[in-house]
Amino acid sequence: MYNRASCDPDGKPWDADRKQVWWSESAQSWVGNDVPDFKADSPPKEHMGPFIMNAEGVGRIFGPLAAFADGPFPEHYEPFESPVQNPLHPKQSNNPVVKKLKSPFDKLGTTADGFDVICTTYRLTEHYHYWTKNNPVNVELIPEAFIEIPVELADKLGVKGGEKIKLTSACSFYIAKAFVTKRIKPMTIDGKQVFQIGLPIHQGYRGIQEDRARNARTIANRLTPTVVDPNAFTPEFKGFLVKIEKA
Amino acid sequence: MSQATLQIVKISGHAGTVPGAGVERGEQVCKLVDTTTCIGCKACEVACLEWNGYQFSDTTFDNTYQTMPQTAWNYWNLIKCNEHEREDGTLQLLMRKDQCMHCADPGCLAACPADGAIVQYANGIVDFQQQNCIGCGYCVSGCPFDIPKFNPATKKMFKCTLCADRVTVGLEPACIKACPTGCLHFGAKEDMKVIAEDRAQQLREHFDFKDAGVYDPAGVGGTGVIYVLHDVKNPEAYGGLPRDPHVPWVVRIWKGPAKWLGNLAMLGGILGVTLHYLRFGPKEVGPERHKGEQP
Repeated sequence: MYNRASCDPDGKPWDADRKQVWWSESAQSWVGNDVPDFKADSPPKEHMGPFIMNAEGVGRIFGPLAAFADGPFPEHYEPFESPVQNPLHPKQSNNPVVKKLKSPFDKLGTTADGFDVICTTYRLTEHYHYWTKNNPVNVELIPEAFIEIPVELADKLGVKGGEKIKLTSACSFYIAKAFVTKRIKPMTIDGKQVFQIGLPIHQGYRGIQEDRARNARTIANRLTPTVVDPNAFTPEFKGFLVKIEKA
Repeated sequence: MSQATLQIVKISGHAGTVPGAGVERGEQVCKLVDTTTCIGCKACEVACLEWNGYQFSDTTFDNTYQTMPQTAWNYWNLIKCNEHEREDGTLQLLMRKDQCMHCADPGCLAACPADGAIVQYANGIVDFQQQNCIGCGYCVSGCPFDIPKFNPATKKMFKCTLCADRVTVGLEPACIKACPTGCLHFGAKEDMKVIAEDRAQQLREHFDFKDAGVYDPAGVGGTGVIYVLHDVKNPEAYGGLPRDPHVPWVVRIWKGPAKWLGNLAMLGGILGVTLHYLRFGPKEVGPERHKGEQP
């Protein structure tokens, strides 16, 4: 919360016991126990609101339509790379206002082209984003890149845990050891068996294991499509399609 | 620590009484590991490594989240990860912090022949004193949890000290301090048992864990590390936690009756030789020489 909101419109703290900032008439400035997170010499009579990121200076319960690229109601859209059409409205399966890039790398895969396995990316509790690949102890905990695949898919491919597999998306490819697990179960969608696999991000490019040539330099996000959410600008890295084979 | 004999209650391979034993009568300390709230972040492994000053060692991915197959001489704290299918078809990823259990009746100490290489403090911590260790590895055969590990470079045995150095000066063990979920607790054994039983009861009554319980095996006199398990009837599922651990009977016989029988046999031998000497006198060497020998 912005600390201006801890004061009433006259610049006096709402709670005398827990003061953060207040207006000082003598100093003609906001002073207090905290650094004012707004214009410090703006007197209360100017009515500068605490929510400095909104034009009106106050908080919003409902956002105006103009503030969002889509909305105002919650909606479900399928990812751009999805094995199914959106069951709610198949004619408009995915979000029409996302930002798509148009470079030669920005290709999307479809099941018709053989990209039939759903892949998702995530981080592990042992890691902090990509940084910890330069920390020896974190590298010891998770020494190598791996791809989590269901037992059923491993049987189909004839792959054992620890053997290398290759993922190919419409953009690129990625090779790592298979982690055969019961934790990811195959799904039945539209009467068809669909496999989901998990791809932790962390390894690749440069780090302790990469510099010793124990891990490949390729990164997980070579595979993911750059399709960007129109409001939060979050790329669609959590659901995309790949082919999977023995490496 | 090794000189603080007033805090020591048991000494390995030691003839006679333990000097000063019984002077300190503090609470027994205990780690409580609630396996139901572990998220497998391995912060305890990192804390253990850093506090004890061990360096990075190479590991290999082995189709598991587990850092390495077993604890090592320089890696005393290991989260054992196991995918466990329950009878109703649901899956659990069981994670158990594996380390020295600090048994009240330590098998390692019973098996150890080196005077003072393993001691038990009044607060229950079982600690290896490497300056007295002869590296024979008998402690391995005495341990039902497969914990003591051999350092081939120094030829000494190592294991978790329950951070005896920290506990002595009033700090909790490093692993406890690092735990982000509060699944690790540390305190007096009596208090930890109360917390553990409360949690097990909560799991039985409010969650789908009808057999939740506390692992504090009586076969080794209770342990200084106790677990809350989802299913206390199946401790083996948690990376081979023994159902009913005991100090092996071989060690018991070897360090008990066999030791006295051995001593008796030795005394008997000396007695026999003496009697033989008294009855027949010394063995004389004859004057005859073998062929080809010079006079």
